[in-house]
Amino acid sequence: MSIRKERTGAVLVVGSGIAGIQASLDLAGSGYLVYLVEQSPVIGGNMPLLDKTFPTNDCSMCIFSPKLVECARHRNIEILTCTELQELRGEPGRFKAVLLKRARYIDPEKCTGCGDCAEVCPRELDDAFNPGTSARKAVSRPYAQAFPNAYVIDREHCLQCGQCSRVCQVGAIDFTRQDEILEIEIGAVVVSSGFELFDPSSLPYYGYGRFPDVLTSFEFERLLSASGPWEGRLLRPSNLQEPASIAWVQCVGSRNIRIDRGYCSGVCCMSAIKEALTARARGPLNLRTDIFFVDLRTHGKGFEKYRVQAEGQGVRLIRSRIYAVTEKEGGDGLLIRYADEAGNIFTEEYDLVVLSVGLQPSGGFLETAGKLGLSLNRYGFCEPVELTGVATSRQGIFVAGASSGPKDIPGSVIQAGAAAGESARYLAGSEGTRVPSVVELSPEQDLTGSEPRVGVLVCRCGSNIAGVIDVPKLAEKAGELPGVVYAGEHIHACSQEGQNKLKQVIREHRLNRVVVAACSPRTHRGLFQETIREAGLNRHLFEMANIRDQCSWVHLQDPDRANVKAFDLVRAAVARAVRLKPVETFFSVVNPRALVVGGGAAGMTSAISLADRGYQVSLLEKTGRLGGLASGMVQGFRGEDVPEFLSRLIKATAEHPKIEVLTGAEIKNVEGTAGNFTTTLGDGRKIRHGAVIIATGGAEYRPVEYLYGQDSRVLTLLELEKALAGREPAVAGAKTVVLIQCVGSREPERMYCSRVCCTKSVRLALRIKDQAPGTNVYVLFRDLRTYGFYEDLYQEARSRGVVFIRYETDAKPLVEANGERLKVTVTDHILRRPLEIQADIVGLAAAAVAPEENQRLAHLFKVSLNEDGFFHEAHVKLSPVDFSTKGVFMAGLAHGPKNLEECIVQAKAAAARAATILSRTRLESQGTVAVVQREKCAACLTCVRLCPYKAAEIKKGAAEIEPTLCRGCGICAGECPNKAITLLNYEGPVLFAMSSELCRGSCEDERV
Amino acid sequence: MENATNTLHPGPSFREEVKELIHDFDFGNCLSCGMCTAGCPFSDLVLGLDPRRFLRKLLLGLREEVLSDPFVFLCNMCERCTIECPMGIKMGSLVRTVRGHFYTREEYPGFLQKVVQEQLETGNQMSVTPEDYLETLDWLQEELQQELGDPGYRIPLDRRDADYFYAFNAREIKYYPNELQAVLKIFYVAGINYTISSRKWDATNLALFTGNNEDFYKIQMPLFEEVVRLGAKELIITECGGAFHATRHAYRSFWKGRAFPVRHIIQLLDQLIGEGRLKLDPTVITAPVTYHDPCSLARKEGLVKEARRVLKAFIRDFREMNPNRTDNYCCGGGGGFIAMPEYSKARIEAKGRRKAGQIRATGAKIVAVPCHNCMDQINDITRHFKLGTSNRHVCSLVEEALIMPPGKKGNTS
Repeated sequence: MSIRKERTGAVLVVGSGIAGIQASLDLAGSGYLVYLVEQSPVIGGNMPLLDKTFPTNDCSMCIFSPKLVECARHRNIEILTCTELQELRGEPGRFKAVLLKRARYIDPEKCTGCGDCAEVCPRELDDAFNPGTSARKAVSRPYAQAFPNAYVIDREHCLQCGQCSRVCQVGAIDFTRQDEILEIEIGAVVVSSGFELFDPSSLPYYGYGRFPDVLTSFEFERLLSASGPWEGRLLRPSNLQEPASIAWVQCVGSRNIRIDRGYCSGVCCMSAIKEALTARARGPLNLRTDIFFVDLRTHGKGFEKYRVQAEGQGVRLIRSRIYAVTEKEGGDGLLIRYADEAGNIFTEEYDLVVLSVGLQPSGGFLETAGKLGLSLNRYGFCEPVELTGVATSRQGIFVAGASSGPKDIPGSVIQAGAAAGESARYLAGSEGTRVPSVVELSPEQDLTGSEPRVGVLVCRCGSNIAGVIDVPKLAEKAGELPGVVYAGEHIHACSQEGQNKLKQVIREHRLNRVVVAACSPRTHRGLFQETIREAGLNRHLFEMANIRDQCSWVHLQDPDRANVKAFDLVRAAVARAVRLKPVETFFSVVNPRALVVGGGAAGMTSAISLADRGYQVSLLEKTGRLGGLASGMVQGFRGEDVPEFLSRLIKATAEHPKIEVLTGAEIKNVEGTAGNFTTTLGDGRKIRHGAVIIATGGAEYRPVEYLYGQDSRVLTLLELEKALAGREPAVAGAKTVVLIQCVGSREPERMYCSRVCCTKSVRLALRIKDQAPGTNVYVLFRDLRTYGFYEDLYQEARSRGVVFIRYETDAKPLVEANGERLKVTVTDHILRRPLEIQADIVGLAAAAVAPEENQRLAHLFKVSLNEDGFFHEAHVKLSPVDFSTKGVFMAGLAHGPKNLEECIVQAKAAAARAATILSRTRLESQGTVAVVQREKCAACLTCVRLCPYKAAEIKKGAAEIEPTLCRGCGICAGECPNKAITLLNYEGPVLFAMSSELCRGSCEDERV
Repeated sequence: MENATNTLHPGPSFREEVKELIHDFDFGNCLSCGMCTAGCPFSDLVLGLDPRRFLRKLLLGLREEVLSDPFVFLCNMCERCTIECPMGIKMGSLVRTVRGHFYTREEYPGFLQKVVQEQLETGNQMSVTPEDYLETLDWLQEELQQELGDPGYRIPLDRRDADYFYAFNAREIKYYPNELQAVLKIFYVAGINYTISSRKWDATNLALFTGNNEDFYKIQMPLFEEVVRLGAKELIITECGGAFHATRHAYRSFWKGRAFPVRHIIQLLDQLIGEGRLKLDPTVITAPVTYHDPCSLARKEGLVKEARRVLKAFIRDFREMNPNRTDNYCCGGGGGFIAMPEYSKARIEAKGRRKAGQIRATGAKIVAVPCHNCMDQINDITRHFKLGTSNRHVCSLVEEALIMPPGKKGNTS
């Protein structure tokens, strides 16, 4: 055996959209150094452009912002903005990357984001963030929550007049800076370069670029957004009037082989529905919202219900590809001519037309891929190697997000987790070797018995605050407040100099509480907390008053009252500060063993991912053998040999020295929390583990429809697949095969799309054509949902003579046993006449259903199921493999219908998430936690029911809150009927003191 | 609607049969999205004009349904419906294939096949005899000698090795010799080295519309052979969309002989104006003028810009139709429809309505129509809808505005 060369414990992540950020966080959290390289000046990619996200209607920025902040703060992540990959040298495991870091001119370390520079900049430009609808300067901040929180100079348009550098009070602007070449050592690369939008001006019939009220979907997102050009007011660009009607046009630049874009972009149907719903909420009453589509593809988890809900709310779905968008004679109004399936022609007028433009690889991706030596598919995407989900044509390089193919946010997050996991697995053994060592801080000051000594630092924020607020006077008044022993001002409290001054005054005045009156705690709290900790104070002895966003900015026109309010906020902050108590950090030791429940493809993949990284894994399988549902499959969606794949996987699992396979195993009981679970099996055996992955799989619905079970010629797709593979005479000799879609799916009792059946059917149809080209194949469908590159298969099937007939739910196909053959009658959607097909075999695309045992497991692990019996993730978008219960993860069909490759990706992602716990020696509490006063507790279970993180439990007759699980949200404290629970530093007296200070101010103000 | 007679029995063999006849696109790719149905300018005016529905029958292999569908001949093969088809289907081409392969010559409606037959038998679509042809040319020559004040003027008949071989439409001999006269005058003024043939001079080919490729080939080849015989460098086609498209289509599909460009006369005019060999007086035509883009020119052969350049060189008040260029509406007479008198009501009253509205909306007094077929249809429409516009070939307008160079007399009326 050769000695394995040392691999470098660092990873290059190319592209910082949601995929790049998620991969970085997972890798950094497992002890790898991450270089997150981003071409543009800010991280975040496309997600900040979106207004809301489907299907939860969460604000995109609100859910994304915490990830941005976490990424920006992570000590193991080095963010390199304005940077491009130049070259990749060396061998996998020991790469060297050459990076070009373009001069920023504004040092993000020094810039405080005050905006004085933009104030004086003479150059006005179109706003790239709100294209065509608002203006920005040549020096600007891309958007309010951008990281780095620094201004950016647009090198292309800057006049280099130097006005900005003269006004910058922290000296952050330096035009003499030069581009730099950096060389870094890394073991692996994650490619997450994202996507860009198809440019619809190349299809002139849509009128984009000619008519101002024709927008792309992303431009429309900006119109809807509160940070958009009209602060979220929905107006027509042409005349700034409210629209009375909006049309969405689907498949613009997708599913179009004439322009070599045969693929489906996968996300646009849902985003159009979401935009229509948001527009209805924002726009005028009776707003007309029509979506023109070809097939409505709501194949993701929860999407079908979203569609039903949208229709219920009045979103009109029109099945038609429009011919053109034209202008009404005399302007003011756009016309769309379209045909319904019966051939009736309509011309409707709209005030706005939104083009749901397709996704394509981001500009320059071809070049980047070339530098990395990656092969791309015909559309320029880096499609992963079959059944790996993330592997590329080159070892040590993994792909995540939309650069691998069109993807929605959860898809990108899952794939990013998998790419991180595979990188870590590839570099196993090198974790912790490249990350900065933890700086041991001096012990915290012991405050026992000492009186509060509060210091108040008032920030001028250049002229941002000082322009409105009388800062010296505010500091002077603050100095007179009870408990305050120091009050001073600073030009920029957050600058390096300001931080040093803070440390200095803490020492000089022996401060034990600090109040900073400045900007938003959202962006700056962490920074000041770190500083006071370095000065020896507990991080929680800190409070902020936001006198910029809440005073000087919003009350610019009314400085007198802004000053009164600023003092109110400072008084309230001081009132809280004097009552603050240090927060103790709780630790729990982590058991580095994992439990995987379910021995199907997902479970085995998770187990191997973790075991290869050195963790012991116990893999439980309830049946006698490994394999799961995939055992019945023959061909993957991309034509893969599934039996061969599966047998390799089973062998690797069974033979892995770190995996213990327990077949016929059943879980009896689960105890403990993240880091320390004890699971008891039916035979009494106890397994102690730090994390668990639930991969219990799914099953094919047993139809009661279409003579299934009554006639042996009616099969489910899996049965048909097997029969085809075995060349069973009845199937092999069939002259005509009919496949019926949505059997048991998208029905009132199962209102979800099973996602896999359309592609599976198309695959089987092609296989039939391969085996016996003369066979006639008919697919009876409702919407054909061959998303992404599977659309190519659909096209191939049509081209090879497979006939697709759409049926309505009120006229479902009729299958009758007709002597020798099966008579299938269906109404053709275009001809509107019954077609009679004499079939030899009928295949039913039966729904993917959740196993019943999920119910029991959900109870044991204190996790929840959705109404369809699939496990409920912590957050549909951003935590698609996590449960809200820490330490418990999910993978595969247990989470919802998906194909084999998608199961594999999620399994790898779940393993990566589990490793972020297993790789730690201990878990620590996250700041303020809820505490129970046992003597007051009546064990009423209110807290247990309400805690979103499952941190509350009844132990020995009283509630107990596990500090390492508690996130300090305060729900339990607020709801506890006997006020037995308090949240440290947010107790009643603290909050009353603050509010009475706030009230006092406004009462006085009223008297003025 | 669930009755036995209404029930259809799909069968794939017919579909395969048609598929094998088409090589440049795959109609099997159809998504039934409906873009074509909405794109047909007449789908809301004439019952049964639904391209998707027709294609659907084909996809399901419903032979009887396809072949008895009036769509086959109602369709103008104008190709507007599928010019942007996301699946790259060409409806005009498909209809032509069906017409050409599944109908006998006797089954073609109207006098379509009669015209084809005349072309096959006499070399031109109006059975003009060589004697009548030469007599007409003689007469034209005399007219031009007088008009140009040049007694030495000769029509260059069968000139060898000319730069241009001019081919035209038989109706220019039989009914509208003044049109030919205008063209010859323009050529004279521009001083180009061209020829017309005494043997093969009609460029039209109505087998373009029957789809019968045997006839199509037989009609077309003599023209190409004549170009080669006379050693002309280039073939110029008159203002006839069908002739131009047929000639180019045949050239692309069948011609294996010497290569030469095939251009529409508008392209030549554009070149001559650009070179300064034709000078036009912008004060002559002051009435507003609009331009009809024939499908065979704009959509099928991409001739769009040249026409605008030519007209804008001397028309002060030029107005585009809406829509225009490759998006323009068919006149309603394309695809041989004008040769089917049994459909004239559908052609003029129903389909004509679209073009009439389009012309009216421009407010133009003159409609420039660079196609004989469209001209006949637009004249019918003008009468029926009382548009009051004057419909003119582009050459006729150019000739009217022609500035005679010094030394050439020019007796413009």
